[in-house]
Amino acid sequence: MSKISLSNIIEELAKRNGISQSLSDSFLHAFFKTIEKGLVNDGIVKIKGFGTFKLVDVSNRGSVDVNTGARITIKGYRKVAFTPDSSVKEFVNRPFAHFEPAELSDDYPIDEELTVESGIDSYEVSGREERSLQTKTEVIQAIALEDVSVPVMMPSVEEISEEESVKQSQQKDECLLDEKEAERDKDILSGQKTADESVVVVEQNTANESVEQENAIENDENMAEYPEEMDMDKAYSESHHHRSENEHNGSNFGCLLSVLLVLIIIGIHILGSISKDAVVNDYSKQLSKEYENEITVKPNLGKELEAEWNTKVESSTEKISSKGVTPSEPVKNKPETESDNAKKTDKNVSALPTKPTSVVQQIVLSESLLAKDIKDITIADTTEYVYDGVLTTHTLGNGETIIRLAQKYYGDKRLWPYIVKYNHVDDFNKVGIGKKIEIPKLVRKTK
Amino acid sequence: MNNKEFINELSKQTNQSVGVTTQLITDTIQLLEEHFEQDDAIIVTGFGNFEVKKKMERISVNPVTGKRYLIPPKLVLGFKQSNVLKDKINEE
Repeated sequence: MSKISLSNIIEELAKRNGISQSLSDSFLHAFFKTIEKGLVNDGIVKIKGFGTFKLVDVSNRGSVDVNTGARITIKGYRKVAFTPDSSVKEFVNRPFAHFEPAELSDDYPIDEELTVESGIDSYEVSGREERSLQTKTEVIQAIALEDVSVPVMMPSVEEISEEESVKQSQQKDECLLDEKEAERDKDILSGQKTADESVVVVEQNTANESVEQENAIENDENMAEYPEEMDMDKAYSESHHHRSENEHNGSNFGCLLSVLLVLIIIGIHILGSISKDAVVNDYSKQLSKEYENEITVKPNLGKELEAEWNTKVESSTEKISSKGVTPSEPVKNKPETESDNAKKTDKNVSALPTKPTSVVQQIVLSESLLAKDIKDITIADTTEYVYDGVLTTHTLGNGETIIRLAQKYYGDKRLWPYIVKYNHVDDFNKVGIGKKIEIPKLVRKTK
Repeated sequence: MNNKEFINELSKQTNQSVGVTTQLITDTIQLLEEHFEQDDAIIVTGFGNFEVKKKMERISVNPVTGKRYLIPPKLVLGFKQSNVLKDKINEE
């Protein structure tokens, strides 16, 4: 392959035909000049035995500037398209003339040129994929580690910055109280305990702010989960938590995943109920807040069983429900007596069995409402008209849909649901060709 | 402009008879074809390039029957206009 310029052609033509160099030169130049002239005048030049030159319009097209990234339009232009004559085409393609299009059977692999080498390639690729998978799992594990460690670290930092030694001594008192309570009534759930203790904290520490209260609740929960560690120093217990996390990292990850799933499911239900009720809205806000707290607590559980976790979630919801009844009570009534406190616990206990059922009822209600909504959507259009006999019977042909039938017979494609409903079509996306569809006559409903 | 008009125009420009012009045209085309056969690219300054390009084999599907065909590779003569010619065409 080489590049031949016009001068080479001129020489060869002169040599072959025995004509002078100048004639050959002028002829060939005139040859292309004439083509050019013909293109400018007529837009098309046909040369027998060679091909057709034709002017073709290239329309505007959008592009992106490589340097600036700005959108630019490349202006359309005219270009010369050359279509070689069939004789020239065949002549040029002579080396490959013996090939013919071959029909492929259905099970014939598309990449039929795959050789042994490519097989090795694919093997290597799979190996690489495996490796990348491994790294992926490592990354996931690292992320899980971070997820686990971060929420535990955060409250501790806050505590160190916000709370002082006085607070810590108070918490020690709480621990002692915890122990006493645990001894007294083991049957009562830990959530109750924390609720009660939050009141105790408020009594003892009047100057505390709400944020600190939350922290206290968290700490209480931690203590409730590890009754055997209550006597120990707080810092020590926290470090212990960290160690247990590292040991049971995998199980923690699984737990986190399951918790996330549960949260998402409950969240969907709550979303449904938000739109229905303003009270529920408030309540769900508190719920979600509490669940966030729960997530931070969850990693501390380590090995604890799923069932225990579920009871924990229940107890927390109960706690929230009791909170929802009296949201600002602990802050307002700071100087409460012991008897009041006792009353309060009673109230909590009495409130426990009723509240969760109401929650469940609300969830079920919202679920049914959702299902109803979906059904309403599918049959929404079939309320404005009523059926009045059969107009015609149409046999569905190739390329016809029920929507097009509605357009054809009613002049309004939005009326297709009537046809679907009248013919009891299960899946209007899959109606076979040749199916007989009865077109009902429609009369506008009079109200 | 069809073949006849082209030959007439060319004979007028070169001051040759139509018969000679026709002969020269066929000879030129034959010469070009021989070059194309050798995979040569012919560069005509002020007009464009003629070049033979290889199209790879491909699999195409008949949209009516759904059958798949292996289309063999082929050599195709292509033409690309020069910028001079492009400017001339786009003048008006």
